[in-house]
Amino acid sequence: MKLGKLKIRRKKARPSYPIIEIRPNKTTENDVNKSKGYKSNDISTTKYTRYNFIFKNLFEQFKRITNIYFAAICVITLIPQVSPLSPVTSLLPLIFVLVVTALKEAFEDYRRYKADKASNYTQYQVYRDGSFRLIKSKHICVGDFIRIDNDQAFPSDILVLSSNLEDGICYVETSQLDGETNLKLFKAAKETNSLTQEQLLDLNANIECELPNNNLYKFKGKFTLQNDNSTFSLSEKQLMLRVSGARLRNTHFIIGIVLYCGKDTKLSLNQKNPPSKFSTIETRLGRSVIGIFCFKVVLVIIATVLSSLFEFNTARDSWYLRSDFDSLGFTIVKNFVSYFAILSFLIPMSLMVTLEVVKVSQAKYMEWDVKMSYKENKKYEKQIEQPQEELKIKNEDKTTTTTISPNGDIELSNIVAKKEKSKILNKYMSVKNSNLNDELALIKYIFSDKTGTLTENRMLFSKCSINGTCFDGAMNQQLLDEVTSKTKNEESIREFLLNMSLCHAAVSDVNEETGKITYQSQSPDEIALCDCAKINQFEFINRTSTHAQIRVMGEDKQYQLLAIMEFSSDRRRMSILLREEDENNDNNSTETTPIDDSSTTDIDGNLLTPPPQLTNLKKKGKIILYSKGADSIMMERLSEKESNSELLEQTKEHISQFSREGLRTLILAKREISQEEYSNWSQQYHEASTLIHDREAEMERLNDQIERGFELVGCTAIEDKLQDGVPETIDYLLKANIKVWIITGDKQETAINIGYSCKLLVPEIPIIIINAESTEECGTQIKRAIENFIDPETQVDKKVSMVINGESLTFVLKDHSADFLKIAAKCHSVVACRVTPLQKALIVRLVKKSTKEVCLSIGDGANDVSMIQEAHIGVGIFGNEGTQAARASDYALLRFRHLARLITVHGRYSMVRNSLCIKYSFYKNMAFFLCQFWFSIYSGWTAMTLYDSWIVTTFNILMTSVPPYFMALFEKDVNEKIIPKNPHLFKEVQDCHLFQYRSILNWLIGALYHSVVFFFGLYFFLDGSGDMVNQWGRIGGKELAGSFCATFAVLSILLKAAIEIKHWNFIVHIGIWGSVIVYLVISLVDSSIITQIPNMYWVFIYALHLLKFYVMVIIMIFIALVPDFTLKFVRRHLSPTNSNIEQEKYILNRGKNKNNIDNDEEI
Amino acid sequence: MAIDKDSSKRPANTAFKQQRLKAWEPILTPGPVIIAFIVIGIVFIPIGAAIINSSNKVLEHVIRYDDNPNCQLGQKCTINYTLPTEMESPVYLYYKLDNFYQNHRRYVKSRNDDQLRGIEVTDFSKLKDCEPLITTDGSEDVNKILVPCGLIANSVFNDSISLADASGNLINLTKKGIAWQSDIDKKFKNYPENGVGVINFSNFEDEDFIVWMRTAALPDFKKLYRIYHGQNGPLSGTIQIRIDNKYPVASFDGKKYVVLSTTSWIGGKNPFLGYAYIIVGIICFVQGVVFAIKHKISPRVLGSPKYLEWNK
Repeated sequence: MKLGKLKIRRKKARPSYPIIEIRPNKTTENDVNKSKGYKSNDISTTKYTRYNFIFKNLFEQFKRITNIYFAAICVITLIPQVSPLSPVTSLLPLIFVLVVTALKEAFEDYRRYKADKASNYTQYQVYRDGSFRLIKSKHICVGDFIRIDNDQAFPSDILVLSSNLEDGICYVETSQLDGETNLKLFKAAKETNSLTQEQLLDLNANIECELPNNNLYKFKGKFTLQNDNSTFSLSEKQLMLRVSGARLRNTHFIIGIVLYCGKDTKLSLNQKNPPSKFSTIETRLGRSVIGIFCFKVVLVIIATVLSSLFEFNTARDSWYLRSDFDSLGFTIVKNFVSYFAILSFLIPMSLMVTLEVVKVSQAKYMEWDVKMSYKENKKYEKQIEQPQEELKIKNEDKTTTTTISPNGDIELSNIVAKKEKSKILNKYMSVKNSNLNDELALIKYIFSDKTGTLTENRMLFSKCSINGTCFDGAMNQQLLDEVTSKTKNEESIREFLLNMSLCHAAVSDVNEETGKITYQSQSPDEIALCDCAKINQFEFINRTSTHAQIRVMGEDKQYQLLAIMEFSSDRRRMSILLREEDENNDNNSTETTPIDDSSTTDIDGNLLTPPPQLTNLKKKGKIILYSKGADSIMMERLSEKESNSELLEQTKEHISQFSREGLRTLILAKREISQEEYSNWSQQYHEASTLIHDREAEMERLNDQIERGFELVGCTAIEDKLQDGVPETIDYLLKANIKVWIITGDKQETAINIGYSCKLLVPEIPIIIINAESTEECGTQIKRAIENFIDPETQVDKKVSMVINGESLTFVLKDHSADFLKIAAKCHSVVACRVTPLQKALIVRLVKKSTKEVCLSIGDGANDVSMIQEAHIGVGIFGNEGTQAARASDYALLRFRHLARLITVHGRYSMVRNSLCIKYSFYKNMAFFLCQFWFSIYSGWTAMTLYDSWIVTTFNILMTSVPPYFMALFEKDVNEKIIPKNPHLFKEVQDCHLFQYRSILNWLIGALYHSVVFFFGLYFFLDGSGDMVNQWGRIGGKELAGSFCATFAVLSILLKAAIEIKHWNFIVHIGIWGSVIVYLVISLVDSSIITQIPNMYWVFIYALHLLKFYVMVIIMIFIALVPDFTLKFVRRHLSPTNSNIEQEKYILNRGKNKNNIDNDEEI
Repeated sequence: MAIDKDSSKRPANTAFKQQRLKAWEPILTPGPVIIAFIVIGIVFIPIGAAIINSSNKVLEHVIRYDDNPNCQLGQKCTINYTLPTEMESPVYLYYKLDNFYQNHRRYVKSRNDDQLRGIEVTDFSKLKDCEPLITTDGSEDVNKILVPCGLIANSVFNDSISLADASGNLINLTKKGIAWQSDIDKKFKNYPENGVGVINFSNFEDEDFIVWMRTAALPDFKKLYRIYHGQNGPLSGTIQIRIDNKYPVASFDGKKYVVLSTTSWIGGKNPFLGYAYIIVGIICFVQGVVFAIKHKISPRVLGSPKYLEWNK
């Protein structure tokens, strides 16, 4: 082949990604791609630079309305004529909040900066000026040739041109990202892989790509070789994405071309922040703050009116005040602003910051939980190893032939295998959105995928039906025995095993030390089929882009690979087109036609051109199309003769039987293709594959055309094993008053049986089955269900479950939503079968919008992403099927069984903790600062502060900051050992009664009562209508009165926390009693600095010398808190909650079994 | 090495991270609660009784004088007052003002504590707190700075009060000790006689001045004026209260009183504290008894499944 230079052709501008021009002898100076506006590969994910951090961060923080509010208060306190407080009272807390938040942002941004730098300065081998050089990642450009070595990550989205492995295959590992152990397969186009490295680097070509987009799983492009103007298509199989954690594996190196850089990479385009999800508590918190603000405004207005009246009626007659004679308007404005400032602390400033820190900490508890982390996987690993050993033992007995040369670096395989095992051990759940921690406690509906979510994603071949006969010992070489004993089924079984060993997308991996072949595939079904065929000595050896190789009872067979029609969720079938190449035919045939060697050479030599018409060639070996797929799909593609045969009836019967056993079924079929038909089809297929637009549709039409007229070969039944603990978990969730829906693509019988096996369906509860073929029939079935199970008179609903299929759902979503929900909302559990991925999201949306309940979706694959994102809370499971689900979710788990613990332990505790933290924060600020309002009654409504400014300043950030934080970190209303045994306890938190508006209002009324107690108790103890007289007859004064009141208030507020806390560990003790000490220390310091705080000098110290002080403090605390304690005791005794009862039972039993070691029961 | 690295990512199985720190989880068992309530009642009621008893022993006599026709503003007068019982020493003599807002924000702020510690403050930014009485004419002339400045210091109570026995002999009253010792020691120092400014008054260590400068919490207040230590035995019979009425309060409906009082270990005369203890004690005791009866008659067994919602 000649790769000559061609003149650059000017092409008409298109609204598309510019054409990437690959030219030989490219140098830095004459690189034509540089002027086309491609993005730089310099990665920058930081929000700030060192220059704009201060300004931008402040701007961000003052988007928060509470910060704006408190900044306004600061401005007021800076005006001496108006401010009743010194500026420190607001400035210090506000600065504290701003600095804490800024530090957090700075820390996070610095981590991003370091990650960016590490990425940008990583060096790669890039071809520049005639040789490969080490170039920093940030300097890589679109159109560069790049070499990626084994274990390297990808700096950009790269088109793979060739690899050291045969057929241009290469593997990418993403286990660092998601724990997935299967290697992903990429494959260079054979047109480029067949070139030598020198030829590649001397390439003269154009690459047309689609515009940069965020679809991670699709890619279309066209590659044009300029020397002969030949064109071939590009797809996602050739595009290696810059995905963090992805690395080249089992491959020495690849040569590729950079297609997308920096912000154009699919990863970057996916980095847009998803819209924030907010929990119910956050919504109610916002409204409560507004309510308190309105209450405050009312108080301010009252105070303003009264202060203006005092000003004009009394103050101006008081010679000692020497009043200014301001106008009425000015007086009113001044007084309003003053009271606005003095009452500003009714709203706790730092609550938002506290909640943020707290939620992150709660997320850490989840991630640290050994019951949801690595401990689980040790068991899992042991289970994996055992079946493999069994398979090996059997193989050793039968296999005697030598092994084939390995495809890759074998030593690397061993290392990778070890790493993979250790990585499983170290994986643990991750929280991606801690904002929803307390929302977990409100879940009413769970929507769950089945494959890979409830099941192991590891299939075991169980049974099969061949030629009307059912075989259940295939994994014990039963099929091989049939073939060797030449029974009547021999030929059928042989075809069956050939289909299983050839018709798949699995990849073989050879261990050089042992010579054993193992299989990897993105679909575990295929691995099960290959393993079964191998056990029966129809062993898949290898497949290249042009040939497939198997070993049949020790004898190698080779097929020419003509086409592969891949499986997809929509097609639900897969096919492979092969030509037999039987080298032994020459010796066996009585009439032999000589092979035309020149023709063979022509075909091989002209692979880059469309295959010429082959009608003039006479080739031995049949062209066979093997296929497999879902029975509903495959049966309609059988030939007409086959459709009416007795064999089909028998096979259908077997399929029904298999489904009743909960097995997963596939139909295997085959068809012989004539040479003429193949030639016509191939020509059209090649043309379609080079289309830029409508490529998929056209290729699908051609696939559909050829995948018809099949002969039935047989049926397989595969056991889709449930994960450990799935039935127990689902049973637990149902008892916890959560409705569980399983949404699966399986057919109805299989789905129902899975439902029974995982306890979603139970024999005692009747099942509604909706399986309609028309919208009218669907409506009828729904109405009948409503009549049968919803009693309008007694309103007592019976428990019921439902099974509905995807076709019926189509009708429901279009015509019968309202009726469907009447019955669906009553269903205890639901199984939806034959559901498409799009329908999954639509179901979630329908239930979510109509019931207004909190919904959780859980899945493990790409099909589940839409429903995970649609739900209030999305949970992904790390699995073999893909990273998409975990990446799109709010929480990522290792196993389905962990879901119960996530919801009923961690969700419950988050709800209990966050609601208590918020209510207590509201309470403490209201109780303490409302005293200022009461004091105004006796200070002429002049916004005079009762407390010293420094006490006001430190109240929130020092004296009482710890209790709400520790409540939110450590509180437990019931011991966690109780929860696994008592799913009913979940109902108590599920309706959010802990954070009802009425509950918040009760706390605020309590705060109002306490503030009245603190202030008026002080008033009445001030000698009735005089001042405080101590035992030496001396008078106290205003500062001493304020100090007394502050002491009553702070101690009562801290002891209120003590009354509310149900779980006292030593940290909580330190937090509460330490806060009391902090108050004492601050008061003493406040009393000791005469130059800075002269008005408070010796005041608190003086108080400590007074007997009256102690007597008053004690009685005030009791007056404030005895009602709270009594109410709590009475309520608990007269109408205890379920959690009270269970906790009492636990505590009493624990006392009896002090010497027994507690057994940690897992959910 | 890579495997070792991975091992360090394993979540630690510590009590803190697994939320298993040892903890006390109270469940409010009836026994301790009932006992606590009863004990509180038993303890509080006697305390309350003791407080009331002590408060009742405090003798207090309040005598208003500004509405006396013989004691008009600007006049000197003598008021005869007969003590119904003897007053054991020490007896405290107070003046009492009603409707005087020493806690008005404008008033409270109007002082400079550095000046009151004898420091010659000439920086007007520091003297700003004394508004509106910084200088004699409102200018910024350091030589016209008021000493002392501010509203509080320029409105000191200046009526004079003395006591005499029925025969007209003056009773010896002590001024020392009417102010806080810490105020005398640290907060108030005399101003230099020849210091800067217009010196109206330089004896800041005067205890009458110090008492006035400690502003009251409420608009009705009393301040300690003199102490009788009993050199001539207890006060008894008729005494003469001699007053020089100079302090104007009529314009703002103020009232002026003389108060004679003794004290107890708990302070002045105030029964509210004692009543509070008794009431709380009674409430706790009654609650304890009621709970005990309830617990005796129909106890709720702790941890009994009978009360579980799903067993009803």
